Amino acid sequence: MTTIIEQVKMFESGESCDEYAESFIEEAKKINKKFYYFTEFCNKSSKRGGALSGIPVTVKDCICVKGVQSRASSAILNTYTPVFNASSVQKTIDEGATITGKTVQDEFGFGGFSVNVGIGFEIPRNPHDEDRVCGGSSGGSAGITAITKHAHFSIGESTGGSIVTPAAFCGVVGICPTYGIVSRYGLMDYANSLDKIGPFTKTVLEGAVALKVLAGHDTKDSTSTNKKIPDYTKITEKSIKGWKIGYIDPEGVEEPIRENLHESIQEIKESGAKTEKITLPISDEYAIPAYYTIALCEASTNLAKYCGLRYGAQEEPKGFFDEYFSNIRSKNFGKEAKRRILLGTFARQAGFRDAFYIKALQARTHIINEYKKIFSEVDAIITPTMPILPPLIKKASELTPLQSYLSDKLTVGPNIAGLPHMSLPTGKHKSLPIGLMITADHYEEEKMMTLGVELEEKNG
Amino acid sequence: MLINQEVLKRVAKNSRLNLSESEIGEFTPQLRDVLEFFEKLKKVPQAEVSIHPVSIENVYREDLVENSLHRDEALKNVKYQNNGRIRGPRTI
Repeated sequence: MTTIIEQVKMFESGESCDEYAESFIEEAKKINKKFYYFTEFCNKSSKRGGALSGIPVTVKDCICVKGVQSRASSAILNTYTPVFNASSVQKTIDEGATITGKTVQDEFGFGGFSVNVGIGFEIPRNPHDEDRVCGGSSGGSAGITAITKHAHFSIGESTGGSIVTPAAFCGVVGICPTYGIVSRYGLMDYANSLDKIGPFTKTVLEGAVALKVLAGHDTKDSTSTNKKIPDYTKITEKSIKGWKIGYIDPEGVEEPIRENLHESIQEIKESGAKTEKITLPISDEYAIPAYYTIALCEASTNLAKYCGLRYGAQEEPKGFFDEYFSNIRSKNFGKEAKRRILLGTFARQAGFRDAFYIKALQARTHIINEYKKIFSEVDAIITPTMPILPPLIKKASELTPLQSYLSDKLTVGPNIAGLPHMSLPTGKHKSLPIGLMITADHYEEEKMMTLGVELEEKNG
Repeated sequence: MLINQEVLKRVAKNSRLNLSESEIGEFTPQLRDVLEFFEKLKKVPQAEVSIHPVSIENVYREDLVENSLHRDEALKNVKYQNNGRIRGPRTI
């Protein structure tokens, strides 16, 4: 398998970037007939040269690509064609990449299995077993990254685990950086204080190359950090010797996944690092209710702008505005989007705001402090990414909303705390991949990926 | 009980959503389960609130005059227009 780094060198030696992009799109269209990873195909590039010169890149549907229908996999945005590129997309194009398509997701990111796609969209299929889920919400991005034979990366997005979950279920590397490292300009907001953009790749080093391009200050996003971004590609020159890695061995994890965690602990010890079992009791208790409260309060305000007038689904504007807005929203939002709007609106209303929203923001402070205390003692934390192997689509579709939310128990902690975290494949059970999640302190992406490279080498 | 069918209908109205009878029947117990689970938050000890997960500082830019989006571009996704303006439903 050719990596991004190797393929860029091949282009420098004369291989045609345009033919390579065409070849990728042709392959992706064939894959799409069976696995449903794409909502749109395109072929957008400007100059060549740069770290991603000639590399085909796919983009999660909620991230704007100029001139390409971008809908966050929601019918409420049917026909919406952005007139600008998201900053993350523009940076990728500026480094010579070709934007080749938009990938399917849970509607606006509302799910962990990619079964909550919007009205009229197909559920993406797991690349290792078509009856199983890809994971969500960036399911299409993870699926195509796993299955393509081309050097490629996908730009994904996470609010509560939407990068690492599908990465684990599809057997690829998914990197979610510290909140604010990658500009959110041009991202259709789910929850502004939680949304992060990050790459899906086949290997950790490719993820480092992609993140280096995506990261950096952007005047168009007031929450974008102005910290200096290190050269992430130097991670292969570093070592974890002498480090201390904390591991969480959670309850309720399927046995093959637990065994795999302990194999990784052993591998870390062989690399000269110490390991120590840790617990995060505050996060265990409050991360899920706090995360969902904050996320849904923010989502219900963000989705208020979809009213069928300026873009997306529209009808002949007849009648009173309230009737028109309610009619178009009711027809075009899927069930999970409606539930999340209702929950967020409920939690923000007078009399409940202090009990839910303010308490959730206080819980976030406790959770961040708990992680900070742990990171004063360890260099990184490892845990299984998901407690289960990818479930059958039928089974995931039958979960109640609460059961579905509870399945995020290992991924919401780092997300609510804005910490960098990544999933990498560290084994298989039968044909199904197992992902390990690495979490590091704020802005410690290098440490996180250094450990990732070490574990990747051990797993061949 | 935090939510029942009447409360849900009121919240739906505030959310500009028309729910069918079957949706009201389906959503009410689902949302009740979730909100009862969220009630755990009552036990959270008092603390400062974290609006963002990391410290966010005001980042200022130069106050420069720049061209904004051209009207044609701004209206590119608008299906119902009238003389370069968005045509909408009645507001009064």
